[in-house]
Amino acid sequence: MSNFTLEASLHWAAVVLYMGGAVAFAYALLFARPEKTRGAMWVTAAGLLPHSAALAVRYFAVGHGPYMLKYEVLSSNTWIAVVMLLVFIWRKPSWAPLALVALPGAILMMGFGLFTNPEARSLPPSLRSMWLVFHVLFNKLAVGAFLLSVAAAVVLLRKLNGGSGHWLDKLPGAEVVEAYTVRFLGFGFIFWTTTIGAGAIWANQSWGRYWGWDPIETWSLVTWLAMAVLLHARIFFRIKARATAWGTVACFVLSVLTVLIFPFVFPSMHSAYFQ
Amino acid sequence: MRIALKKILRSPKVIVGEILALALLCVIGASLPQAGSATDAELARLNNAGPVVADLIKAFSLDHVFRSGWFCAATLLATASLWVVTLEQFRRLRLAWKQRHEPSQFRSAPFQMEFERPAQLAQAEPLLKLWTENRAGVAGSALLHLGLLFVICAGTLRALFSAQAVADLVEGETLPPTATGWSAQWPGLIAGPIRFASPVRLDRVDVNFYETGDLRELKVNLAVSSNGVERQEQVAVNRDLRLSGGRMYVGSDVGPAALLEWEQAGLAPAREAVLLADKGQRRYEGVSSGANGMRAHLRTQVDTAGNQPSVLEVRVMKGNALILTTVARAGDILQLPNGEKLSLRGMPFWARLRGGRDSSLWLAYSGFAFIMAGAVLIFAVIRVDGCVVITPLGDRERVFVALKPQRLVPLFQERFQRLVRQHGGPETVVAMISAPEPARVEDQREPHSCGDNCRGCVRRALTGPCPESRASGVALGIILLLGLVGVTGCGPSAAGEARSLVQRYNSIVAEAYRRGDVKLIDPVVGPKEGKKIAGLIGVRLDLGLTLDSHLLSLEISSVDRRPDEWRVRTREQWRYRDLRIGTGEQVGEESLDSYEMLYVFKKSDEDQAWLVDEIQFISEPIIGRKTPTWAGERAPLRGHAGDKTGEPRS
Repeated sequence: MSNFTLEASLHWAAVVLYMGGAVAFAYALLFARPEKTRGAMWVTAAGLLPHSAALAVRYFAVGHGPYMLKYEVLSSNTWIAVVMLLVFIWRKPSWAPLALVALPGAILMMGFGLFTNPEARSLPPSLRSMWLVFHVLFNKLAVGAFLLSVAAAVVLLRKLNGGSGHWLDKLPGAEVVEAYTVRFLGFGFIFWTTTIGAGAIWANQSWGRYWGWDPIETWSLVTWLAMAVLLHARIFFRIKARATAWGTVACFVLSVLTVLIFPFVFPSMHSAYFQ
Repeated sequence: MRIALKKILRSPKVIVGEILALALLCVIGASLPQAGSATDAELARLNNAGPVVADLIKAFSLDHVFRSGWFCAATLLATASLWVVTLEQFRRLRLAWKQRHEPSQFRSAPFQMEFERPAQLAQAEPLLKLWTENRAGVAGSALLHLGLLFVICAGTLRALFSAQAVADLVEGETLPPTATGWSAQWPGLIAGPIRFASPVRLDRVDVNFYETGDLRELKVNLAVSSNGVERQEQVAVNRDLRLSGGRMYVGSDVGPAALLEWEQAGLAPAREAVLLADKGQRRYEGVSSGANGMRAHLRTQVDTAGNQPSVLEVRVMKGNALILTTVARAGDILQLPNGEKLSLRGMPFWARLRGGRDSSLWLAYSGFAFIMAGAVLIFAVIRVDGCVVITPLGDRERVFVALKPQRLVPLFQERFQRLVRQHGGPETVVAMISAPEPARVEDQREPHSCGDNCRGCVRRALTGPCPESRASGVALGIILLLGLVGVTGCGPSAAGEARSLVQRYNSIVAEAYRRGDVKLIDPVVGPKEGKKIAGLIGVRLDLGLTLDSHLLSLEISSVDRRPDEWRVRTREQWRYRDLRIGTGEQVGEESLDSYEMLYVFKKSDEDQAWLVDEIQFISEPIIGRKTPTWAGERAPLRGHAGDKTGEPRS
């Protein structure tokens, strides 16, 4: 079996298990069988095994971390997002409904990645830097945190729109959900800030300047500023929970555009590294 | 006046407006081609988008947003606000840090409960317990804003005092300790040029490649002389060298150099080191200009181990005529017409060394550290003040429990429930307990680092604007931002892009025919069409001919754009003539032809570039020349302009 066949099989096994986990969560929460939530968590966690193995096979096959292709980037982003989701639900079991939004989002992200070109690319010498590892790692953590925050925002909007049901009632009140939405966004803000900082130090090392108004650099700043606007608006203007939720969704969309779409739209130094 | 200005600068509306303005300018700058980073073609396309667009670009400096007055003004205003806010926050931080709590202050706590329990204390006196956790959390906002100030200051100092420089050196060449030794310098507005204290000699370039042709490693070995002593140093990608006067580093610009000597009777030999540029797949090319309008097109290939190449492809052209094509080795002397000579003296490597000087770098890095620390303190370390008062009442005790988190208040509900249970209170505390009215308003507003007794906060909270209208304003802002992204993200028109694709293809293939050089067409032609053109160029070379063609007019008739294929119909007019290799004399008559063509472009699997997969005539070509130059022309030819050499299809 070739490395790629093995890697693809492991990836698809992970997708199947994540989908099984999502279905199990849906069954447990929508049909009021809370005792099944634990099983759903285990099924999802089982998906991490083939997923981790696929990433490891990839690492040994190409000799570098998952930061060169959409295929690698999206797969590893999904891994981080699923781990963050499971850790949170394990710590706060009453938040299991979050999986109903976050898990399908993660599966979509991974599915999209698996349908892109997986052909390995050589690692240019400029990408061999510890700062790049921090830059990429914190970006993945930011995407994971944003995914959780947008999941919480969707749940919040559902609650504010008068949605009811066993799974929604299991969650704390809207004010607590809103606080968690902001906290996840806050963690995303920390990770995004670190991503920009580490990227700037790496850019100075590689290109002789820590900031060059490259389109993707600038879009990452725009995302950061959008989060700053939301957080300031929340503090200064006491915006309502609904506005916070929509603002969170907008920030998430902006971050996804910055990381996954804009490198292909605007000519940028980042485009070459992320085909 | 000063107080009023400060008031304006720290007004929430002004601050949020400033951030939005900066974000908007960044969106424009990131979406439109910018002078300095975009290519000339991209800028020209932007300026040719229409008179209204051109006027807008001129009026608002849209093609150099980050150097425009608008951007500077917005940044200046934001910096002034940041300065005022940071000072204010540090003042408040000092007060909040020193603040000692009194039980009375907990009347405004968002979580508070009073209950009775059986006596448990051994003493008759009331017991008071006050505590503060995560005190450092209050420093978050101040640190973050201070970090931003640092970064802005560092950026300003960099723009004023930093300098960048590049020098392309060949192995064995020395960079003198002067400013003029560098090929180019970019000093800041009031900065001097870069000048290292010691001369630096490039001794050897160590380079190697992946099998795919991509650069794997680049190390440059240097000899640095100081006080008559020479020491060996090395710079590599991501590994710089600190020298007195700045730092030296390398990117990935490297390649072989051709050391050439042009000799012409009666003149001193002209020597030139031609730095061959990377064309992908470890292939390097360059051009050297000699006397009498001659120029030598040079090409070589480097192996994966990065050894110096041993042979060099040379094509000498005079005007549009090919004079000589050969493969040369170091030491070879090529004889040219009129007694001229071209000698290849060697092929060492060259590397681009970069110099940089930025004495405010520490300030920028400190700023990054403060921003990150501040963000962590804001969201992960939340200050919580707690209070428990137990008052003995005979065989019972009255217990007052209160918890006052600084922000994200609802997250502390479970914590408060545990605290109540620990002190013998009810098992279930149904919901967050509201504080008395005036203070509650403040607490729900997420007090900032001033703590919860800030009069400014209370006043703003009580007189603040309608939250709903503000929320919709923010949502509108974000939607507008995204809308702008959508609008400005649109690419150029299909016809314009198709025209550039066809023009690029035609100019490259015409040059390939002119030089008799098949390899030139690789970036624009797919395998099917490539084989056809390679055959036609080969046949011409065997006959000792090259084709000199010029596109006189090009009209795009239609563009059928699909995700993986473009079909472009054109009307073209060409002028052709055949030239004899060696002398450049014209063979046969010149031809003026007109065609209607269909180009089929497909995306390359490798780099997603558009390649010509197939070319067809969509109507009978109109051929100017009546007599064929050579027998091969009797065959039906189709494809590139160079294929249309004067004979209609049979």
